[in-house]
Amino acid sequence: MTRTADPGADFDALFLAQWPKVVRIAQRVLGPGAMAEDAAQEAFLAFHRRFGDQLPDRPGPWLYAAATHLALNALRAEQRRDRRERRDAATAPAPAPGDPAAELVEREARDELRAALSRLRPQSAAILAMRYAGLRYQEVAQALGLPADQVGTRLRRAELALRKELEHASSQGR
Amino acid sequence: MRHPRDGDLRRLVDEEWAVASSVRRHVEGCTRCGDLVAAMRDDSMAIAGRFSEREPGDAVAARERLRALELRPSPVRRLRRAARPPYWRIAGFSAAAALVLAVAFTPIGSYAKGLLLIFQPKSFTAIPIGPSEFASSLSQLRAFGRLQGVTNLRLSPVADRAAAQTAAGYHVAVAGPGVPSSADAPVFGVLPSHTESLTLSSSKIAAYAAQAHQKMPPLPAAIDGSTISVTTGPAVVSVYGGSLGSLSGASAQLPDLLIAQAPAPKVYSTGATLAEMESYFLSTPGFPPQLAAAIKAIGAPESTLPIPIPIGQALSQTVAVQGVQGVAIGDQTGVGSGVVWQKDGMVYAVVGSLPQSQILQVAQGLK
Repeated sequence: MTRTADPGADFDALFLAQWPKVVRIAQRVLGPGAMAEDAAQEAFLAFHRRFGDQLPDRPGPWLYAAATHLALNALRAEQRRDRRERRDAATAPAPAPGDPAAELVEREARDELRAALSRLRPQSAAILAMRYAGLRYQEVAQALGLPADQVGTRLRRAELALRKELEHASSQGR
Repeated sequence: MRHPRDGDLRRLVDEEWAVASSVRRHVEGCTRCGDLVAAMRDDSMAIAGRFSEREPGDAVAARERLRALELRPSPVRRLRRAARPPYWRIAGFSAAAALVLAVAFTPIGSYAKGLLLIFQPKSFTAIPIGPSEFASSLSQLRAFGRLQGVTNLRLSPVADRAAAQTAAGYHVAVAGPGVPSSADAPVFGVLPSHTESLTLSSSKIAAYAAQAHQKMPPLPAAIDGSTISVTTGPAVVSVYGGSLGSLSGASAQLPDLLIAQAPAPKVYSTGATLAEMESYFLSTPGFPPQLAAAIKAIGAPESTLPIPIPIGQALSQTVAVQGVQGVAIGDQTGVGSGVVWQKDGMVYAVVGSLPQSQILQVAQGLK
């Protein structure tokens, strides 16, 4: 990477260039709400704490891996909290009053997907988040520390596992 | 005939160009593999359709928010702790306390010989400010020129009060008997003396304006190239009912009681006067208008240090401490409070999670 005279400017440039991609990865895991941007911010914060203004040669893969990891952690924490709340309330959460039917269906589908992702092996969930956020196979391989020719195989396995989880969830009516 | 690996077939769906031509030719002539690729494509489209996304928020604004976040606990942690007491309020208050400490107790060296002393606080005034405004104003300094000496200063632990006095070179005040917070003995830390400087540069400002697509007023020629230095420290911090490590980082929390002291900061300039700088900075588009108005309203700007108080989170009032005038800051939720004053060339701050009356009592009894 070309270094500019002002090291802080390198980080600024990196942030501006990578922000959309990092948010998109987090959105695959957490949905399009504010949590995804929070996780993306957290990834950049962790990056800055780790590297300061001395950027590594390939900062992208580090950021993608951090964003995925943080988003999955936040997702699991949210799922645990939901389970606890449901147990405490002994009922499923009531829909918000006045929630239009279409929105309700969309929200349920999103929740179902998030729940299914949280039950996958972390690497499978990560590979799905990265690939469906638009990362190239080479970038996914670098972020996850895999040989590039393994990405396709693992992606396929992750897709089949996700499909199974979703089918299982709908057959259980959860 | 041997079929290609599933991984190669899967890649064919997304990155056909990256797959060997032999694989492509095979798929064209093999029904089994052709069907498999079609099934993979269908699955891929179905999964892609399930992911919903929204256009990511503006990157420049996000970068500014990140700068402000560096003063706060991590957002993901805040989410996890949502059920706990109003942590963000502590964060807001801690940010205010951190700013007081940053402004009043950061750097101070002695290399400033030959420079013009343009600012030395003798009193403090509280100014209301949006929680992230001050941080974002500070972050914009980089746009005005070359910053030097800005570094993450770390508190070095020292064994006791005597060691703190030796390291700092002055009398270290401690709480009088009957500290209401905790029976624990305090832990001491020393922040080294330090100098930070900003050399104003019209070319830097022009570059920033172009990058941020923002119109910036031209830097007056008289102050272009001027260097402003702030020297502070060494500061001594004593913590009761907490540790030095708990003051910073993602899990930062307010101890029962924290006492900080340092020589009053000094601001030097190689040319620009305070009035010239103030006039320029306050006219820049990123500068919060409320803050600009509050700064303009300060009666004796060359000797009054503004202390930013987060709007809606803290209240401030003038109080008498140790025979001089100080500013007391109280968090509206009762989570924390503090008082800052200056006496005989030293700045003191007492901050903590104790009620304000007790904080003031400790401040009065400091010796």
